[in-house]
Amino acid sequence: MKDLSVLCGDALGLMTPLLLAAIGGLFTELAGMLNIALEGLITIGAFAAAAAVHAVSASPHFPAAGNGAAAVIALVAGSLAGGMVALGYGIGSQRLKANEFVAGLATNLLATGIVVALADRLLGNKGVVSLAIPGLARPLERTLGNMPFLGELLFRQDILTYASWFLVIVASFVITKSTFGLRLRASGSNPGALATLGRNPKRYRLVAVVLSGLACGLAGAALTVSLSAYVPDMSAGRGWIALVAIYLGGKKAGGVLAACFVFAFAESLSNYAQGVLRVPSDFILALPYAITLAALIGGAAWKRLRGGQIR
Amino acid sequence: MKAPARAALTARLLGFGVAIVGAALLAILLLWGLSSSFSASLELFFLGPFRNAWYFGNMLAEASVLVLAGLGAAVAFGSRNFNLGGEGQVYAGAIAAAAILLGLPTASPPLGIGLALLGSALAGAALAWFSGRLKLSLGVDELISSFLASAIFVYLGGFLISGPLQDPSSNFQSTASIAPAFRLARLFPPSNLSTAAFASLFALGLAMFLSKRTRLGFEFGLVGRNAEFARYAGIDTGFYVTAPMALSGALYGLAGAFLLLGTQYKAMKGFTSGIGWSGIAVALVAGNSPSAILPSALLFAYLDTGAKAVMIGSDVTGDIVSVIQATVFFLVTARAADGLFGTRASRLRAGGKKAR
Amino acid sequence: MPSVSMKGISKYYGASSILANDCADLLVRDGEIHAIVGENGAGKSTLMKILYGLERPDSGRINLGGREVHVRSPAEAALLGIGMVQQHAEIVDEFSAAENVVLCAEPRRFGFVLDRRAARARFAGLAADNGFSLDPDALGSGLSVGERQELEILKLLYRKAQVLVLDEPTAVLAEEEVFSLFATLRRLAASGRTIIIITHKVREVRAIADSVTVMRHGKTLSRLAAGDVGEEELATLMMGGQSFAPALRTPRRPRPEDVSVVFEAQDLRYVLRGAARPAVDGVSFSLRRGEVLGICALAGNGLAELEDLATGFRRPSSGRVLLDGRRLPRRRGKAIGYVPQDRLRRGASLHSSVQENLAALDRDAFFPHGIRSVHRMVSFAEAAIRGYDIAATPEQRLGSLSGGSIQKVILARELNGNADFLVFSNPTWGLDIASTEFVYERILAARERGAAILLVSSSLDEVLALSDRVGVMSRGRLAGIEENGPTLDRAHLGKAMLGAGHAVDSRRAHAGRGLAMGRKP
Repeated sequence: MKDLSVLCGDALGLMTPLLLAAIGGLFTELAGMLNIALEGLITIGAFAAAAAVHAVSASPHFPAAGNGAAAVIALVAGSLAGGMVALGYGIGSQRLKANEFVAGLATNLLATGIVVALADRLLGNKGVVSLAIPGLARPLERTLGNMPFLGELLFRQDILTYASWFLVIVASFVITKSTFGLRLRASGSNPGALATLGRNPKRYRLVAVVLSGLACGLAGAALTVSLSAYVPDMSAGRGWIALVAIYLGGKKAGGVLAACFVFAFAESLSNYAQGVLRVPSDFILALPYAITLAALIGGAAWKRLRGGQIR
Repeated sequence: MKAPARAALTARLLGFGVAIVGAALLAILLLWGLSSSFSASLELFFLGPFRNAWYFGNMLAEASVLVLAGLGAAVAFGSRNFNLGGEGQVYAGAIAAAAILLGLPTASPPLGIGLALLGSALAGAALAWFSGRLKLSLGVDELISSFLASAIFVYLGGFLISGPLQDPSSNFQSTASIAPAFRLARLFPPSNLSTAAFASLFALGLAMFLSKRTRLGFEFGLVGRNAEFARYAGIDTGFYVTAPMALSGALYGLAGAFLLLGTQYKAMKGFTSGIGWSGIAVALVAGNSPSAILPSALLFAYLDTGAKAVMIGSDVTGDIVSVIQATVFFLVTARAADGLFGTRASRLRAGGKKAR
Repeated sequence: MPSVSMKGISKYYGASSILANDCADLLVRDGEIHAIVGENGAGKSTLMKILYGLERPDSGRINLGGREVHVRSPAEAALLGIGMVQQHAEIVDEFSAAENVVLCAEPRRFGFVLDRRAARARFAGLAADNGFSLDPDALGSGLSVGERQELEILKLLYRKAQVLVLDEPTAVLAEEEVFSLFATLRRLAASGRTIIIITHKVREVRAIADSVTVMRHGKTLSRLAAGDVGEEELATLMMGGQSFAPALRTPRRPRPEDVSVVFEAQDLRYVLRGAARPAVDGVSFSLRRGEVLGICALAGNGLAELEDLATGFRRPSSGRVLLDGRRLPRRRGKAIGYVPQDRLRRGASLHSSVQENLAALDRDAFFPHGIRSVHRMVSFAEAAIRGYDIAATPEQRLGSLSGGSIQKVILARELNGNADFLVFSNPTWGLDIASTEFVYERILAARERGAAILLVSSSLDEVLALSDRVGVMSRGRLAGIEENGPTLDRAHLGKAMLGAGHAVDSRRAHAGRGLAMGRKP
C-alpha cells in the first residue's frame, strides 16, 4: 500500500512534462494538424532553459546560486523558445505551404541539430551539464505531506506539477467553453465552415501551433529544472508518447490526463524495477516506448472489438 | 500539351535551387557565428569534400548508403505508408548482418555475404512489416507504430551489442570485427568507398525499372495516389500496405548491412544513428521518385562531408550539418510537398475555398 | 429595400485570360426570387462570387438598394446583408445545429465564453420565425443534405442577410427536399428578402422564380419574367440554338434471347458498424440482359450502400449478390463496368495521366507479362479520346480536365470491356446538358448491345428517362419494382420514396402539391 502511494506519487511528478506536452499537442490536434514536432519542441525547451540558466549564473549580476529565480528563468526561457520555434514551424506549414508532416520532421531534425551545435558553444560541453537550479517549492508538503497515503500521493508534489493540473483545467475550459475553442475545433473539423464565414482557419492553426510550442517548451524546461542539469536527448521520446496519449485520451483533456498518468506510472514502475531488479538499462530505456506501443495496439484492438464485427 | 508537366518541373527545379542557395547562406551564417577562423572553415565546408581522395570517396560511400535508405523511405512514402522506423530498421539490418557473419566466420565469402544481406533485409523487413500489418488489421497509425517499434529496437540492439554480441577484448560497446574475407573491396583507398556502391546503383536501376515499366510499379503508384480508386480498379490494396512497408524495411536493413560490410566492419552502439532520418529527407527532397534519389543523396552526403571536414579541420562542431540538412529538407519540400502528398487532402485541410 | 444591380461586370481568370464574365448585367428587385440560368461554365457562379466578395471583378459596378458598394470579402458582404449558400454545405459535424449557426458571431459572456443558452434561444427564435423545424441540439453529422442546407440558410439569416444567393441548391437535393426548399424560399421572399438562385434546370425556373436572367459564355443575354417564358425557349437561350428536352425513352420489351438473368440480389441486408437499423434491408431484385433497372431514393436511404453492395465494394451482412449465378469476386474485374457516384475519388486518379486512368482497369491487357506496353496504352487512349470526344491528350493529368471530360474518361474505361453487367450511380450529377445527353446515349447503347444495367440515381427524372423498370428505396427497403411507361404514377413513386412513417413526413407533406410540377408539359 505504501509502495503503491509512493509509486503513484512519483508517477504524478514524472507525468508533469508529458502532460504539458500532451495538452499543448491537444490544441494542434483539435485544429486538425498532425503535430509530430512535439518532440523537437520539447528538446528546444529543455535546451533553452539550460542555456538561460547557464548564462545567467555565469553573470556577475546574478546573485549566488540557490535562488528560486533560476527555475523561473528556466521555465520562461524554455517556454518562449518552444513558442518561437513553433511559430516558425507554423508559418512554414501554414503559410509557406510545406506539408505539415514534412515541416514537423524538419523541425525535429533542426531541433536536434541546433541543440547539439549550440550546446558546445553556450554550455561549453556536449555532454551532461549540471546547473544551479534549486528544487522547486513543494507548497503542500509541510502541512499535508504526512497524511497517510494521500500525503505521498498528492501533497508532496512540486508547484509546477500543481500548475500543470491547473493548466489542464484551463485548457479544457478553453476548448469546450470558449468561443476561441469553438472556432479552433471548427478549423480542425471543417475549415471550410470558417472560410465561408470570412475567417481564416489557418490563423487558428497558427495560434494552436504556438500554444503547443509554449507548452512543449515548458515541458522541456520542466525536465531541465527537475534534474537541475542538462542531458543530451533530454526529451527521450516524450513528444511521441504525448502524441499517443492524445489519441488514447480521445482528444479530450480528461482522457489525455488519464493516458499521461498511465505512461508516467509505467515510467515510475520501470525506475523502480531498475532499482530492485537487475535488468539491463537498455530494457528500462525501451520500456516507455514498449508500453506506449502496447497501449496503442491495445487501444485500437479494443476500439475494433467494441465497434462490433466489421464487413 | 506537356506544358503543365514542364511548368511543374521548372517549379521543382526552382524550388531545389532556392533550397540550395538558402542552405548555403545558412551554412555561411552558422560558420560565421560559430567559427573563430571564418574563411578557413568556409573553405573547408564547401570545398573540403573535393579536397582529397579520402573526403571525396567518403562522400560517395555515404551517398551509396543514403541511396538505399532513401529508396527505403521512398518505397513506403510513394504508396502512402509512413515508415518512420528507418533508424531501427537500419540498426536491425546491421546487427543481423554482424551476428550472421560473426556466427559463421569460416563460411565462404559469397555465402556469408549472401546470408548476411538476406538476414539484414529480413530483419529490417520484419520490423517494418509489423507496422504495416497493424495498420491493416487494427487501423493503428503506422507512422507512430513504426517510430515506436524502431525506438524499442534501438535499445534492444544496444543491448545485443553490449551484451551477447559484445567483443570481450574491447573496451568499447561494440561487436568484434567481421572476418576480413567478408569485407567488401575498397574502390578508392584510403576512403571508405567500396563495392557496396554498385549494389546501391543496382538497387536504384531496379527501382526505376519497376516504377516506370512494370505492372507492379503502376499499381503501386495508383495505390499511392488514391487508394480508393485503386481498390475500385480491383487492385489488392492490402498487399500494397504490407509489401511496401516490408520492402522499405528491407532496403533500410540492407543500408545497415552495407554500412557494416563496406565501411565499419563491426557494429557499435548507435553507429547507424541518423541514417533513417536522412533517408526520409533524401526521399522527400527527391519527391519519392527513384530517378531523383541519386542527386538528392549526393547533396546530403556532400553537406555531411563538408561538415565533417569543418569538424576535423576547425573548431566548429560537425553537428551544424543537421541544422543545414533540416533547412534544405524544409526549403525543398516547402515548395514541392503539395504535389507529393495528396493535394486533395492538403487542400481540404488548408481550408479556404473548395475547388469547384 | 435590398435591390441588387450589377453593371458591366467583367472577370478574367489567370494567365490564360479566360473571360469568365463579359460585361455581365444583373438586375434583381427587392423581395423578388430571381433565377440565373446557364450551362456549366456560363459564368453564373463567377458573377455571384463577385457579388459575395469571393472574387474581385476586373471592371463593373455593383449597386445595393441604389447605393454603390464595393464588396472585397465575404465578411464585407455579410455586413452589407449579402449571404451565399454554396453547393456543398459547410457544416461542422461535431457541432450542434445551434453552434454551427452562431459560429464566428457567437453570443458571449465575459467576452470570451460561448453562451450556449443564448445560442439555443436565438436559434429557436430564428427557426420559428422562418418556419424551420430543425432541432438546435441536433449534431451536424446527423443532418440530411436538405437539413444541412436549411442550416446554411439559418446561418445567413442569423447574420441578418437580406440578399440570399443560392448556388445550385437543388443539385444535391432529392425531389422531395426540393419542394421543401422552394417553400422556404417563398416564405423568405414574402418576408421581404431578395433571393437569387443559380441553376441550370429550366424547369425549376418556372417553379420558383419571379424573373430570370440567362447567361451564356460569360455574357448575360436577357432578363425575362419567369411566367412569360417556356421551358423550351429557356433551354434554347441557354444552349444557343439547339434545344434539348429530356425525352422519355420507351421501355424495351426483352427479346427472347435476352431473358437470361445476369445479376441477382437476394435478400440483401447491410448493417453499418454501430448503426441502429440496417442501411439496406431485405433488398432483392434480378436483372436480365438488355434492360435498365433504375432505382431512385432520397439521400441517406441506402442507395449509396446498395451501389457498394452491387459492385462488391462492400460485403452484405446477409444475403447474396450473384453475377452469372456466382458470388461476386473479392476484387472487381472486367466483368463489371462501374461508373461510381464519387467520380473524383473512387472513379478517377486525378494525379495520374489520362492514359493511366484509362489503363487502370484492364491491366492484364496493358501489361503483358507484367511489363508496360506503351504502344497499347497510348493507342487505346487516343482511340478513347477520339471516340468519346474528350478534350485532352493522353499524357495530360486527369485532374486538369473538366468534370464532363473526366466522366467521359471513366465511361471510356468502364465500357471498353463490353461487360455484361454495368452499374451507373448518378451518372450525370453536375454535368451540363450536352454531357448529360452524351452519357444517356452511351447507357442506352450499352443496353442495345445486351448489357444488364443497374442505374441508381437520386434524380427521378433520370431514372424515368432511362429505365425499363423502376424501383424506389426508402429507409433501406426497396419498394416494388414496376414497368416504366406513360402510365407509371409519378406521384405514387414520390410518396413511396418518402416511405411510411418517415420522420420528415409531416414537415414535407404540405409540399406535395409540387409533385405535379415534374409532369408539366
